[in-house]
Amino acid sequence: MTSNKRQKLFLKIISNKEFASIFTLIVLWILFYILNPSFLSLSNLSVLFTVIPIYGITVLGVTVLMIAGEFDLSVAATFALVPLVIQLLISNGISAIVATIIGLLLAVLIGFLNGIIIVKTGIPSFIVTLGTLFVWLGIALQISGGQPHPFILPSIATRILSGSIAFNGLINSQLIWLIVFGVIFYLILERHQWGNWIYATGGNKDVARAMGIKVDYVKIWLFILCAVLAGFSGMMESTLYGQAIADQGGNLELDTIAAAVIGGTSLFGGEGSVLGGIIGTIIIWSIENGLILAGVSSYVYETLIGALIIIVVMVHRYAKKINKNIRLGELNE
Amino acid sequence: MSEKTQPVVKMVNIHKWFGNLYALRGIDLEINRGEVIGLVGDNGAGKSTLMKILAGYHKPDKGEIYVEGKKAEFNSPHEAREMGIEMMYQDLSLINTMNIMRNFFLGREITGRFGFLKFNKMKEEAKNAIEDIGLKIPNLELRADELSGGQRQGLAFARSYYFKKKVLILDEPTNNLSVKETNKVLSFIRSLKVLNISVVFVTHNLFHVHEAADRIVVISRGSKIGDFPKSQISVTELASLITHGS
Repeated sequence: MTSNKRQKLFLKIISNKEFASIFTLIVLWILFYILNPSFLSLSNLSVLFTVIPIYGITVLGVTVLMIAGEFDLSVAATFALVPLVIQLLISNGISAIVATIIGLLLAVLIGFLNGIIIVKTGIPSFIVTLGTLFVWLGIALQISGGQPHPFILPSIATRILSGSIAFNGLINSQLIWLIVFGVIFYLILERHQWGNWIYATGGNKDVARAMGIKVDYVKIWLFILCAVLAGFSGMMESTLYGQAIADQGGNLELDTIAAAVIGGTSLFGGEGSVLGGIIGTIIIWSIENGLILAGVSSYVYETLIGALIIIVVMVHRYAKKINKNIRLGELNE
Repeated sequence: MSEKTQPVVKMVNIHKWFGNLYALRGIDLEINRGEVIGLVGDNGAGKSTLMKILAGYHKPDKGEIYVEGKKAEFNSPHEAREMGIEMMYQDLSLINTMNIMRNFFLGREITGRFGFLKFNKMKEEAKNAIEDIGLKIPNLELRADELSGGQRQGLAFARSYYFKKKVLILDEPTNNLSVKETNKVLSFIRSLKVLNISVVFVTHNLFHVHEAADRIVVISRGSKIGDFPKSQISVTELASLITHGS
């Protein structure tokens, strides 16, 4: 390979839209490995990949919604409320299947309400979903009394949602779900006409509307999708720990956005990727784990995440610039 | 009437009020196939209102629209578009963050089974349409915001041509363009004419409209005050007609 060709290949790799996030992930993992080699041990990786796919599924919904130009902060509430409602129904003698269906229908309702309020009133989704976050979180607190409740599904259902499959739990049901959802959303975004409509809605909703795309429908459907994925992954977490609790969504409302942004999704919509969202999730949830293993106070976590968001976005911008130059042919010879 | 001589669009006695404002006071307009019409007039004369009615954004309070001899009523821009009439705004035709091919087929994608995109077919068809209109774009993977102003309009024109539009309404297509880009846009308009698409060119720039149009229609305070073949009126006479109304 001539040096020119090598340089071109190098630039091509850098300009890939997932480059910045993959690069960050590799650097972080090497760093954590140096600080404590057991970071990359099978037992630690299986701890990581037991929870990462659960959050990853929520992040997928948030990412696709952000590509369409909207936010959903209420995922943190949906994540807790859906398993709590399912638990409540089951404890009242309703069968697990019916309870699950009702729980997911509740998620559909939550997403639909977010979508319809935003589309009809024109209030920014950041504000509306901040409101619904507190509304649903409050309801979750009321029905649970703020206490954890045992969440027991029939064992087959538990295995389907969060069972270990191989390699000491490194390969597990939730990972398979994440991969399945990831592939489906990748195909929809990149290869299906719906993806064209989603990118267009986030890119410029006025143009999209002028070209005959039903922008409002696209948004409402994505809010529903986002809520259902959040509810579904919340249910997974509850089967994993055997309990449902109102604060199990933790800081998901912002962590999911951080994961999407670290994965290259634009806050203004129109740009982003499914793979980026998944890598962003792995990065965010690796940091806390890596810091604990390194013996660093986990209070450093917030600082590091904050700094990382800014650095990664800078790398993304650099990669985008190179990508543009390649397309414009300025780097050809 | 044979198809050749029948106007592709005929607007008859169009009236429009906005509250107390009597915006259009009974305007007639005929658009023939493959004809470039320059629509000029001062700010607030009603030219945009007239065109928005034709493109389905407003409904006339009185008057009729005929498309190829058949009476038409548009409740939305979508319905007008279905009939082959499209209004094109400079900044409202392309999505900056998407590539050319995705933009070209936006909302009208070529799909196979289950709605999946047929990229090869889309690429080929877009490439042909772009070449037909005389536009040179080396790489369809370019994003729309990486094109020049002239190329962007050329792309939107190629799209109208590909989707067999009958009438294309251009709202100030030469605004904010360099001289070179303006010439390019004017040449695209001539290509559309050759391809038998009618163009209504709405503008303030009398030089551009005089160069590109076959016929020039002048509107003042909601009424049509002139309708001339280009050869019968000069730019200076047009300017005086617009400013003095005579």
